[in-house]
Amino acid sequence: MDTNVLNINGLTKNYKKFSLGPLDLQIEKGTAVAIVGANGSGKSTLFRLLMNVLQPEAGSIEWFGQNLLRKETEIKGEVGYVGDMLEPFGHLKIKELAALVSHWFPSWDEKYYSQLIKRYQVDEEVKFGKSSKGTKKKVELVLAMSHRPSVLLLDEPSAGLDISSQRKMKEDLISFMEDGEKSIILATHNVEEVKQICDFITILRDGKEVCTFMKDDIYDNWGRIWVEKFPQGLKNNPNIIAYEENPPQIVTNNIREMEDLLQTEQVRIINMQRVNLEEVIEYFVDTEQ
Amino acid sequence: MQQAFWLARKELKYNWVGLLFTILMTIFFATLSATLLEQAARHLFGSDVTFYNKVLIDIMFVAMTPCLGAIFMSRPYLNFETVKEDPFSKRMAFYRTLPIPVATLGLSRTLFSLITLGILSIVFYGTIAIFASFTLYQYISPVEFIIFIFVWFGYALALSGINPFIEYGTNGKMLHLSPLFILAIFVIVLLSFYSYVGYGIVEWVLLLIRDYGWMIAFISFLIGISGCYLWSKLLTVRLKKRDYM
Repeated sequence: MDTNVLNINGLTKNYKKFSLGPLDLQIEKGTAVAIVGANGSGKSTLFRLLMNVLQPEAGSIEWFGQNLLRKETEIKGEVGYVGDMLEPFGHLKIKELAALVSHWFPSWDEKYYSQLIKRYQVDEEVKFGKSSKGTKKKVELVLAMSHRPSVLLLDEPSAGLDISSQRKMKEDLISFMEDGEKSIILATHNVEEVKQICDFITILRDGKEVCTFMKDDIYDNWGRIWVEKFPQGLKNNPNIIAYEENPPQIVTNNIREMEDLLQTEQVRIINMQRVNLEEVIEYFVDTEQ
Repeated sequence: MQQAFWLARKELKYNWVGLLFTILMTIFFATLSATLLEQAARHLFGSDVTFYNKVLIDIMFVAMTPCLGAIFMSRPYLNFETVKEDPFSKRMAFYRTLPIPVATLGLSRTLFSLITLGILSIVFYGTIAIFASFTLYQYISPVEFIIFIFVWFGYALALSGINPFIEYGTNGKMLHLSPLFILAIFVIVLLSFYSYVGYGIVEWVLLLIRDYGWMIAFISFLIGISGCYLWSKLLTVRLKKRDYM
């Protein structure tokens, strides 16, 4: 049985100065995936393709095992999307916006909506356009969650949020994932969010997927090893993620295997240290390969 | 259909200020048209020789009436920032993220345009009827005037579908450039018509009505309904295929 909520195959979108893909990505039910990348790496473009707001040049998107183009309405009913789309409705009060959105979701939970509005201290009588950047994000998040979706597709949901709202949002996202049936796809620049919410991390750079890895894998298997001399024969070893020759050091995604290998190669290990998530993300996001 | 109507009604509610200004502008154009129509009728059917501007009356009916399907006095039409901001596409982009079938979205735009056309046509022809009532009926009968309204309403129906298509099927740049293209086509059509037929278009329509009566209204209405259906289908196909951002 296919347990993926999302299957992306060969997804490509071309612009004059930027191309996304070809991207292949699978997201399992019950997992939270962070899409991380520098500004302009293609995160928002990917999300818009996933919502069919942009048309791909090639490739296919399947949500819940169904083709997005064929079952678009049903799929969108199951996805809560935050992606800065409400700006053209700035002349509406927040409660009017909620009425406009809720009409299209049979699963809309009015009680839950009221709870969230209260929890995030949003004044429904204020016009959306007159709200602060943080409030706008809160409104988007509340609208995305109030129809009880199976998947949340969140494009930088905490940008501009105050500390207290960021904490509440993290709590709500963690509680959203609790039953193991729901999934989150989160584009973010906030490492704390990745640490606390996500299971997998996909790195995008210049529209291409650089790698996808399990967050826990970083803590269990990744490490930095300082050696007496960098063994040139290991340069192309698949477990070496990065190396520097001065001072000689290796970043590996399999510290135990690398330790054995260095011993076999009779390279003296000076020091070993686990790497943290920030380092790994920063490395993949910033380094040209 | 019900959902499309719900959305069209909501949009109308959100745009009431623009609609109000559009109604006022329509009244202004209608008073001008009333005088011109009266002059055209006197020129064609009266005994005295009348000089009037047939180009102006053709502009009013040929170019103006299809615009009655759009709230043309709203911000996106009046503000050149629309070229950059593209508010219609952004609005549609948001709707496309909701679980609304694209056919419903297309239909809601068509209904919105039809409701607007209905309201503004009542205002336009109602104002003409009020301002030109006494003198106009000396030259054309009330029935001919009603047929005249149906003919031009049919014409507007056939072409007004271009408004939602440009608004939601293209971008902000096209919204401001398309009137120039349409104007160029309009000038070519007008000049060709004058040289081949020898009458103004409105004059020619008045003559056809006198000769053929309701038949002309029926044909115009039929073309109107077909045009409206065609534009609605084109818009739906376009909404399905386009990039919104």
